[in-house]
Amino acid sequence: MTPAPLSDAVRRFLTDAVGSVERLNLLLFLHRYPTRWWAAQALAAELEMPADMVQTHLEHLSARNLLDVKIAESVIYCYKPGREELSALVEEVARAHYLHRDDVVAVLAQRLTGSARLFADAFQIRKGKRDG
Amino acid sequence: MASVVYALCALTSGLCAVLLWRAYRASRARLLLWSSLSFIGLACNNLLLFIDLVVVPSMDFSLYRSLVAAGSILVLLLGLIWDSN
Repeated sequence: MTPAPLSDAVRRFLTDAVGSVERLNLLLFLHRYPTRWWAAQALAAELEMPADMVQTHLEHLSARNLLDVKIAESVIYCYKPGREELSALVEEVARAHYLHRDDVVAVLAQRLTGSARLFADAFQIRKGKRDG
Repeated sequence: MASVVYALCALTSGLCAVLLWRAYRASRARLLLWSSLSFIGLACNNLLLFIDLVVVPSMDFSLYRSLVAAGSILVLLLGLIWDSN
């Protein structure tokens, strides 16, 4: 049996703090340039994503203590995790994304169906054996 | 016949609330907590409906019933929004 390529901490971080492939791409892009400050517009152009969507993702990541925020001509963001553990987790995610990209994307895809599955499973009165 | 339907609605909502709460205790998934709370509210709403129309038809509980139903749906809606974030 092959060991799971992603640790539980990484899985939890992906589902709880990141939540989508787009947001992950944005986070990893910012992580690649840790000293550079970005406005949402500039990131949108760089990543070829709608600016309002990038703005929403940036606010989400800032709220999770992953980015530093400064108000200049516009609001600008820089990769700067607030805690050492967060920084280590992002490093681990970046490594996993490089080595096991399919697994990382699968974790994020499962998150979308996870809640619905939990909801459906709640109505199973007898918890029997399931296939798969 | 209508009173049986009202009672069954209350029982079904209550059962859903119990099942969702049980699943929440097992998984700690927030969505299940909000769903469970919402179904508790819906069960109360159905119970009030039964009391209003069957037990004491002389009194009008429609405003309270509607408020409880709206609150329950609001809890579920907030839970879904929070979970999607």
